Amino acid sequence: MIRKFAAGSAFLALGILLFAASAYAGEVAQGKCLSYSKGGTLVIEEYDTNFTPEMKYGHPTSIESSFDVSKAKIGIIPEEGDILRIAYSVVDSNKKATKVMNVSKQDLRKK
Amino acid sequence: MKNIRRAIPILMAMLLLPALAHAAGGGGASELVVVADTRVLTVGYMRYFADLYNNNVVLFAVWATVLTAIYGAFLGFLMDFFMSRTGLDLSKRKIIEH
Repeated sequence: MIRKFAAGSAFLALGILLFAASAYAGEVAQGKCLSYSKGGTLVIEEYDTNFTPEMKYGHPTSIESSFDVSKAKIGIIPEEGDILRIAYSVVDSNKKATKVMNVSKQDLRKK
Repeated sequence: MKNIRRAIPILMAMLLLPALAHAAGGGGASELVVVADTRVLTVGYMRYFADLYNNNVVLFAVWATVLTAIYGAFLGFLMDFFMSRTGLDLSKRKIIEH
């Protein structure tokens, strides 16, 4: 009886843990790096999701977005002109980046 | 005991080799960060897992562990089913020798 209760409680706790994750939903933006300051702000020109063989990262939308990258996990250091993909969440109308991927310098499709 | 004593310098060398390579100028490689492109995902569960991968990698790892366990159990029960259909009873450990 105690074993069943413990197993049930463990499954319940695991279920709550797993399905509570919907609150963590974030956003993703991709575009060309316009400026980057380490531990500060990253500005990109956003690209859309209309991928073509000529424009494999999408087409420029002329929308400039800035992200707070002070707490972001950054791989290859972004430079102007690099194509970046940024995972972020909006906190008090500020876009706080959690991860920054340098798409053009680590293109997985080349492999 | 002698063998263990002989193996210690080899083990130490293996452990120190990466540090020596780094000191010799082999360092400088940056970490690869991968972000899943959730903009193109429309299916709910795919979007859910991609969001988790981007924003909560610990929970993503928990999911991976749970799904791996479920998949392992599924394969185990499936093989049990097929083995029982062949007539082999693996639930008894009795060995009959002729």
